[in-house]
Amino acid sequence: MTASGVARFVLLLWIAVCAAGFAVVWMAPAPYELPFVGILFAFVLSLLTYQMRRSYLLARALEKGNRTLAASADELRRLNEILEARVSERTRELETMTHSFSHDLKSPLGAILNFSAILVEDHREELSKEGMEVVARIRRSAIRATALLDGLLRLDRARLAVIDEQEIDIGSVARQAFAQVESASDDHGMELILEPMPDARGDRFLVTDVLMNLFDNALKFSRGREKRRVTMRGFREGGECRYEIADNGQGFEMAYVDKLFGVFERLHTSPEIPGTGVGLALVKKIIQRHGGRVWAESEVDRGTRVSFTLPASIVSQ
Amino acid sequence: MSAPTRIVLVDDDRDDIEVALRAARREQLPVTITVFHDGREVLDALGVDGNGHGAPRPHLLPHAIFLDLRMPRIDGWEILRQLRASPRTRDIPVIIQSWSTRPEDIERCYELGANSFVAKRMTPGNPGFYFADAVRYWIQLNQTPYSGPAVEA
Repeated sequence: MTASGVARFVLLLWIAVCAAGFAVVWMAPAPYELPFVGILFAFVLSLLTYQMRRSYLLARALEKGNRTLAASADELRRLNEILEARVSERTRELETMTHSFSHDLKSPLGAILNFSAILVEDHREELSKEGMEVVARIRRSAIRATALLDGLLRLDRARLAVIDEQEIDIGSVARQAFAQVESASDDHGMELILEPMPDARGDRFLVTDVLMNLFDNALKFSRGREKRRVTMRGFREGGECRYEIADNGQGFEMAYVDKLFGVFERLHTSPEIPGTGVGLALVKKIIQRHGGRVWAESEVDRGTRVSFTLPASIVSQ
Repeated sequence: MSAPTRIVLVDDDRDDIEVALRAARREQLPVTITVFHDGREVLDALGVDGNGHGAPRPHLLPHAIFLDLRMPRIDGWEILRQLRASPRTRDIPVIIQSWSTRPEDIERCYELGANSFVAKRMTPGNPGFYFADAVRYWIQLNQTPYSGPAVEA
């Protein structure tokens, strides 16, 4: 038995004796009732003490628990802040690294392209047919690496660009973007249908980039098909506008939809369809920087519909 | 016949220099190109001492300076700053040539007084065309107060 246990026992005993004495004096029980009175009082009192002590201990434990909880909440918040800071620092580091790598890589890649060109120009006679083919392979790879690098740099620019937000007549921007894509790819076999659309707010150049990428995909992934058509619609929904660009191209399997907007992700491997897998990542980055969302739905052989949101115009309703 | 037009090319990358010189040969640019691989060398040769003074050696002054940015020890920006600080070289057209097209890199060049920023680039053919084109513009088309009368051939 511990010291406090002994003390408690003594205390209880004392109280029981006192109570019994009190009962004897006040209630004046018959002599044969006295032991029962004593036992009863002792029992009741010990129960009472036990309960009191229990609640006291509980309260103390609770208070201690609360203190610990508050402390750990503080600690958690602090750790969270440290973690956040670390993550954003790492992200910045990584972005800076990508940024300088992509620029630094241009120099050696440039040397490969330049000197392979010189090799072909100055030493054509000394190269066998097979040798020329090897050089062509090297150049194709270097050109592809260059395109990937350019894609990274474009993404980087979209990430860093200062957004010059202005009212955008999305219909006219779309028409221009489509015309540019048509002439750049020298592919005029697709019909563009623009439905009446609400105006948006955003950076005109960046939004043009978004539309050009989406139209380029529509052109690319419908090549060789009948009655190629791309339709753009727009709806005002509260403070934002939702736009849809739907084509009737080859589509993709929805199982891969999560990969669609990833950097360097390509859902098509056929060499006839050019691309680096940067376009849709760029679209996503630009839309996100405008506070919007972008998603896609598709059905193989039926077509793809890409939807995105932009802040609605504050001038026109 | 007038004295040949002198230009200075500053670059630590031998490959880039080779490509530039080859383009100049190929396109028979009417210029004498002096190459420096190092910032110290070129500043000494031009008589720029970094404090805004320079020894009087005007016969060595080039008609244009083509400058790379990323070089060990003294980089392109520092060379540019010193060229602009010296009265002797203040008005010589300086054309930056770099693989970097980082906006902040380009901005710094113009802030320091570069006349032009040319991105080194790779093309399917015609390596070094960027250098040849820039030389033609800055030597044959661009006019400075000191470059004498533009003579029609």
